[in-house]
Amino acid sequence: MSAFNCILDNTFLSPTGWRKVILFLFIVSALRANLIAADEISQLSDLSIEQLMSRKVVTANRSEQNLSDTAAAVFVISQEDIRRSGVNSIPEALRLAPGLHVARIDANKWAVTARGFNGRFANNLLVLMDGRTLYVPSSSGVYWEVQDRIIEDIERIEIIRGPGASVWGANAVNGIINIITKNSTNTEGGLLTAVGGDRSGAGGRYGWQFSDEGYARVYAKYFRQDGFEDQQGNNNGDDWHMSRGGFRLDWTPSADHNLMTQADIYDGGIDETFIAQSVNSLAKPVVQDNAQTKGGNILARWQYSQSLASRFTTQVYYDHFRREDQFKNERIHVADFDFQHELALPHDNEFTWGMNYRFSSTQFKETAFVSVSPNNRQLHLIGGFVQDKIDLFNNRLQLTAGTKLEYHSQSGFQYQPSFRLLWKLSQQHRFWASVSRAVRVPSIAERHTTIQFGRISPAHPFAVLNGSTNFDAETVLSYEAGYRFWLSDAFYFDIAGFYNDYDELIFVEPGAPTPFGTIPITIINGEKAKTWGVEFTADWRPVDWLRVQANYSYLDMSFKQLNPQFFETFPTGNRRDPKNQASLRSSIDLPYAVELDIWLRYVDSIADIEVFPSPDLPEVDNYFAVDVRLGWKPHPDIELSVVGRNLNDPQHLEYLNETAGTFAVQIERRFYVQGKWTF
Amino acid sequence: MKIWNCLGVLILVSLQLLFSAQATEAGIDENTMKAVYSFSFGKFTHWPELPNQRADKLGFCIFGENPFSRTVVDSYEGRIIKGRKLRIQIFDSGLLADDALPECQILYVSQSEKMRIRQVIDSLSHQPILTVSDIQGFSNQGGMITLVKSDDRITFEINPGALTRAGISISSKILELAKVVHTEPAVDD
Repeated sequence: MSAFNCILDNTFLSPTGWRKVILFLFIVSALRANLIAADEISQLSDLSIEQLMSRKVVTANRSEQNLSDTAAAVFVISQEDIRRSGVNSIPEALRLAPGLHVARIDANKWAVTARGFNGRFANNLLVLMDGRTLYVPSSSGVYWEVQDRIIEDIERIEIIRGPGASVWGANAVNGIINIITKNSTNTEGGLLTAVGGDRSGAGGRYGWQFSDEGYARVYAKYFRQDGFEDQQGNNNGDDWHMSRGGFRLDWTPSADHNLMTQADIYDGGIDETFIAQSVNSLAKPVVQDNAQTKGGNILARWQYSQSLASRFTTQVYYDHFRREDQFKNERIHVADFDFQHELALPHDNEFTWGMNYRFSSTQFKETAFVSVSPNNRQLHLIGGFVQDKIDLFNNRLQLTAGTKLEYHSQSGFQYQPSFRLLWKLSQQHRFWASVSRAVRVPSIAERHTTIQFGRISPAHPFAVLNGSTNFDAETVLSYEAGYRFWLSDAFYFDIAGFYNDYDELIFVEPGAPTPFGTIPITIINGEKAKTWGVEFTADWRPVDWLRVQANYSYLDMSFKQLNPQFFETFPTGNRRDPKNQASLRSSIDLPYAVELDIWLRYVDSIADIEVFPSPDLPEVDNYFAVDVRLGWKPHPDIELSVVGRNLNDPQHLEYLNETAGTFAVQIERRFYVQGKWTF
Repeated sequence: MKIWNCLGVLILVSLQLLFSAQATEAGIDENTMKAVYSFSFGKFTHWPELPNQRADKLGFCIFGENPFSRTVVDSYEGRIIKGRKLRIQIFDSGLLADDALPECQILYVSQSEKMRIRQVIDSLSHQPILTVSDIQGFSNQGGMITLVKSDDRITFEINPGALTRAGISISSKILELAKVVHTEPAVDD
């Protein structure tokens, strides 16, 4: 009708008119697609078995996780999403999720978090890869630059916004990212990939069946990434190269036992430029630094299904990471043991309990800027959790309650309970609500580091930041609610809101200057915060060849210093997040196996970002980015694609590194080509 | 400009009508077809009457990760098959309590449980539950019906011995269309 109106009286031409048209088309399409799909099934179900046997089928190409019954703000990035977005690193892929703030700091560093408190070492987000935590105990946070795989071997990335501490433990304060790689049962055969452009490199994987019960794969990958430029147009010298390799093995010696083992090693050079403050002189040379990083990990997970109703999982891993640069020199060893028992009990109860132990040892070497005393730190973590999920009122209502209890050798006992309720209003509507408590435990740096800032005289720094053993865990009490709705596979809508009440947040307290004028600064639990926000995602597939995904998130944060006499010029490091973020992505299948993907992203300004002690750094303005991918499959086993990122903008700033002395680095317009061959 | 706006609307509307009409012509999604088969088997199956079961409900349980789309699940839920109302339950964690078994008349074993089928079959062997799967060799290991993809079409294998052991009978029409297989003895283990 709208189209005819348009022709008849030209009333549909104002901007609001267009909005009406789009809305109309949107609703009609969703309903139509729903009706057609349901109709198709209705027709099929009336056919006889003979008739079914004569109908042609096409390969199932998407299998989606059924997350609609989760009482949490959960989102899944599938392998297909990653492929269609054209991204070639894990942090870049995370931009696909609503409510995550992913900011590229320079060519090789990212700041990633959910629901506030972002940073290069964003410490409220727990990140796991196949059950191994990527969160480092020394500085807390994740070194995104060393997290990688053959990107095609990632099965999916699950993102839970909000606390998940009742199962996952400390530091799952604002969210959990779970990177899950494919089972090697599903990666038989070879794969070769190559990329050229501002990043160039190649990777290969080969998977095979080694016995009736087992599959394995090996992979290797290398890339180098060109550096970006700073605000003045100088090369920032943040080039980056990385080599890695590893294997995964899935073995099922009998129907009730399953063993998964995987390992990786990596080695790379991560360059950066910063203004150094020399010790014993007032000189401030610009240092071209070259961080050498290497590491490796090995993990084994054994699952024993005792019966259909009971399953035990035991996992052990060892992880080693080392990074040496002029600012920081650390070596970390982590050994982790995890045990879990899942039980389906009578009356629709699903009961889970588990225990874990983690040992981490960190060795610091003193550098010109950072010293840690004592140099070697050992941390122990012992934890246990229980959780019960119960279906009530004929599966209408699902209640999940549980708690984690942990003992951290550095910060003592922590309890982290959660209560979650899901209401299945009807087949296609879900409401959920939750209350949970989570903590972030102090890093070694926050308790034991000494960092010098600036110089007032050759012998004396302007300020000294001291970690404090009085610094305790930060806590949050989080209230969340959400709603989901779908119309068959044509339309999916998910909205979540939260209110978080933080206490005991990190704050820095300046003390009385020494006789030489040096200001001592101590880390304390000195701030409270209240944050709230909403996040939504809508996924619309009006026709087979088109998919549109829209995400929006809003975040509001307010802070209260516990002792307001501190002068406000000192950064707390807690205000670093955009209020509004939006993204609109459309994936279009064109004839001749051509795919076109257009992705529009908007990120609000980060007006409050504070970097100490560089007050002259620019503000991070809002930005709008257009990414386009053009893909072509000349043969089912070959895929070629051209990707352009930030096409609308020669360069923009996304974030400022909170590490002192670093430059504001522009994220540039970039192009690359990718090729992929499966055999 | 106005003309372009009008044209834009027209093109969008017509493209939309055109493509949504054509959507089903290419072929049916493999997993959707497997779902249709599995539900249809319910029409041709006779379960023994048990005291603790409700005769007005037909329970369809998916064991493991759900391979079926929302469209499939939503359009079958509540449908009447031979006078019984379909009720779909998804056990995606791969855990199934004993007291949930009477709620399953048909159990679809998902690919995610591929390595566990021997255990699934052994645990259910004397239950009156029609077990269906698309896991290769499912019926050879004692599963009742296996959906097999061959040449762009879905066919199926039936293990009549497994049905008999469970006290389930299936229409002879269906048996004639199936490839009949028998339980093969377990190799070593």
